[in-house]
Amino acid sequence: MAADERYATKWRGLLPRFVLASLVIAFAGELLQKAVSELFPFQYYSSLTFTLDVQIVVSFAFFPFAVFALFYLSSRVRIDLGNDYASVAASIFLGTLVVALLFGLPEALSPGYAGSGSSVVDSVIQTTAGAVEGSIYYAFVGFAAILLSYRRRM
Amino acid sequence: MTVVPEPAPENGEGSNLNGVKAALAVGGIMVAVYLLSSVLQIYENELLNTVYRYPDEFAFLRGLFPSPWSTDLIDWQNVVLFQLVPFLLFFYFAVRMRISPLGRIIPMVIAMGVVGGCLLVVQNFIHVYQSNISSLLLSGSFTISNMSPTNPMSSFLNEIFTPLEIGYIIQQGVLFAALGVTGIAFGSFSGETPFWTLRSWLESEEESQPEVMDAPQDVTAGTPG
Repeated sequence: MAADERYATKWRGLLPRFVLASLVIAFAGELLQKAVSELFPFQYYSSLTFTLDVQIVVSFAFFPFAVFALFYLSSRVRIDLGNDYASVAASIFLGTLVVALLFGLPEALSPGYAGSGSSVVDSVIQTTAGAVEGSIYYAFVGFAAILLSYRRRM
Repeated sequence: MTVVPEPAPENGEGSNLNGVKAALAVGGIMVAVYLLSSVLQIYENELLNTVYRYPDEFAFLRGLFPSPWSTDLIDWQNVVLFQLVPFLLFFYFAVRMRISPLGRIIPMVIAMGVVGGCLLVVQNFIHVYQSNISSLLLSGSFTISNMSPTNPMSSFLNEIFTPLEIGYIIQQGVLFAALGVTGIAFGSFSGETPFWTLRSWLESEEESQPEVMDAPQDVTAGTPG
């Protein structure tokens, strides 16, 4: 029992830390994307595709940073991944989803975005789906990083 | 020639190659899922309304996804088909094949990455031939009469061999490997297939709720009939 007590529990240490960590990492990733779009503004169609390409490359280059950060955090927090696997994945997903909605929803609700042919409901549905899709991928990558750390410890 | 059977794995664990087999099996199933997604997207983009104007075509799908909401559902449909379905498949195969994420996973991860990259190529291929596939499904002819003379295969080959597209393929491979490892870990740690996990969770939820019908039943049982 003494060994079990050293593990972080769901509400004391595990969920808040991973929600916060994924929130911070996703926030940094979104800020990086904003910086790229500021550096290469959408002026012409060719520059739009170029900016999108740069954003995709930057987001892919950001993966190792996110993986390392979660790997480091999970090596600092003792996790019983065999029991808390769902909580860990859900906390990463929730933290990232908050950031994705924080950045995506105001843009979807802005009059310029909704005025491009689709209604506000349409744009909200599409933005929410995009946020969920990105957050699920973040959760998969983050969970794989934590699993690597867990394997190393085992 | 005698075939030496594979020795029984210790500790109930599957062999190292089971992860590779699972990755290949999920890849095969996902090709069918991509084809299904292609058909659904053709319908949802209302191409059928412009090219094929007969109301009885895809009547079942029209009932399921009435326009114009159908176009909004594409993104959610992609979440279900391209993320949830492979995740649940890996979850299932991990339980059935006794794959452990704590064993030797490098061959499995490499196989998952290769399958993920190949699936992106398949997706691009299907996308190029999307109109032809819909024509094949509806009229039985692969060629479209009013189609532009450009060859879809040449445009597919031109797109696939660009540095950016190769970057996409690598990215998709990494993401699919992460998805697969997560699914395998969920299956291994839970020890039950997704269906039984959901069922046991629902049963535990029902047990945790107070049974309000017990008290009146006891009262009626106590009363003389």
